[in-house]
Amino acid sequence: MVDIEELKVSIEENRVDIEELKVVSMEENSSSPNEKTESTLFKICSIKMSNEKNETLWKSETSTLNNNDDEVIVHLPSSILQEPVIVREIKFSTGSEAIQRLQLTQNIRLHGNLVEQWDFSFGFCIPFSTNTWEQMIIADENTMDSSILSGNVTIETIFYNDVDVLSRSVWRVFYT
Amino acid sequence: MGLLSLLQKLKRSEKEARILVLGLDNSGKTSILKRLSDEEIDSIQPTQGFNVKSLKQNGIALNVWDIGGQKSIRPYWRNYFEATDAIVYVIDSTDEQRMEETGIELDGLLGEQKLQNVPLLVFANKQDLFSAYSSEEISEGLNLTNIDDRPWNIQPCSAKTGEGIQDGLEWIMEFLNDV
Repeated sequence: MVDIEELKVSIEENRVDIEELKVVSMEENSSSPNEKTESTLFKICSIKMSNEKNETLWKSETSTLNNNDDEVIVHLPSSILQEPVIVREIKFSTGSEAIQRLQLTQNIRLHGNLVEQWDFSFGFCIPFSTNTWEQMIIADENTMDSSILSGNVTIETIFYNDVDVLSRSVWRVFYT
Repeated sequence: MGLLSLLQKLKRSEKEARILVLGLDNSGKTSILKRLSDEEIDSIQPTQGFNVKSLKQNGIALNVWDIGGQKSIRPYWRNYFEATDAIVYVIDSTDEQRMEETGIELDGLLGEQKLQNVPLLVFANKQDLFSAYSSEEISEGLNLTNIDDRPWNIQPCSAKTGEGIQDGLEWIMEFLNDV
């Protein structure tokens, strides 16, 4: 024989559990489920800078990529500022889901003031793909001296899928 | 030779020019673009997505999109058609076995509404190899001469030696200026 009272208590307890579970799962969902899954799957693989003769001037270390919070210190050779043309290659990969509207924004700040902004719209990215973007940057005639820039320049790189942030990193650049 | 010299031939400035490079896997799309900027082409892996090359000077921008050609990737090509100003279609001139397949893929592209009237350059690549079909043979075999809804051209080339690549892309630039 099942004790009816005991069963009632047990049902009550379970109900509480279910309520708790609901709360937990709602909290998890509150920060946009898409953003969560995509951000763990989208990955910057490498960043490379070369000159017009394809000589590599700088290559990223993995530790400087995909950190979404801390500012990272990056040392670039000051000779980069003398090159008339810089070719910068960003390689990135996607996970099991296609990205519909990939956008890149880069904010260059000097002493915290926005001095330059670069945008690029990639659009669609194939699932499980590795993609590269090579940008040829033709230097301005009056480039500032490395001693003025060193340590005072930050580069913020943000990849978006539409409005969802997939990856954000901030570099503080020192010229050595 | 190089993308920069091509950009300087581009006269218009109202918007960015977009060139789409397609073709079967192993036809040499990535190699052609690398050769254009004098990069090494010995260790190129199959493209598992896209490679974009962008450049901008004096407010004029050029974006060249090279999309992977593997069979599993081809269904995604259509995602890259929008706003295309020119198609570069690359053929491995030695790949007799897949000549029909490449012809079918090209026909499919020419029938796409989003690519209507978009100028077409066909690169008959790998001309450095003895077994390569000539551009005339390919043109005939794939009935390219029947194309009458857009400007088109076939250019023999070799990503290995660099021959023909600049010529082909300069032809494309002429049509970008006319848009």
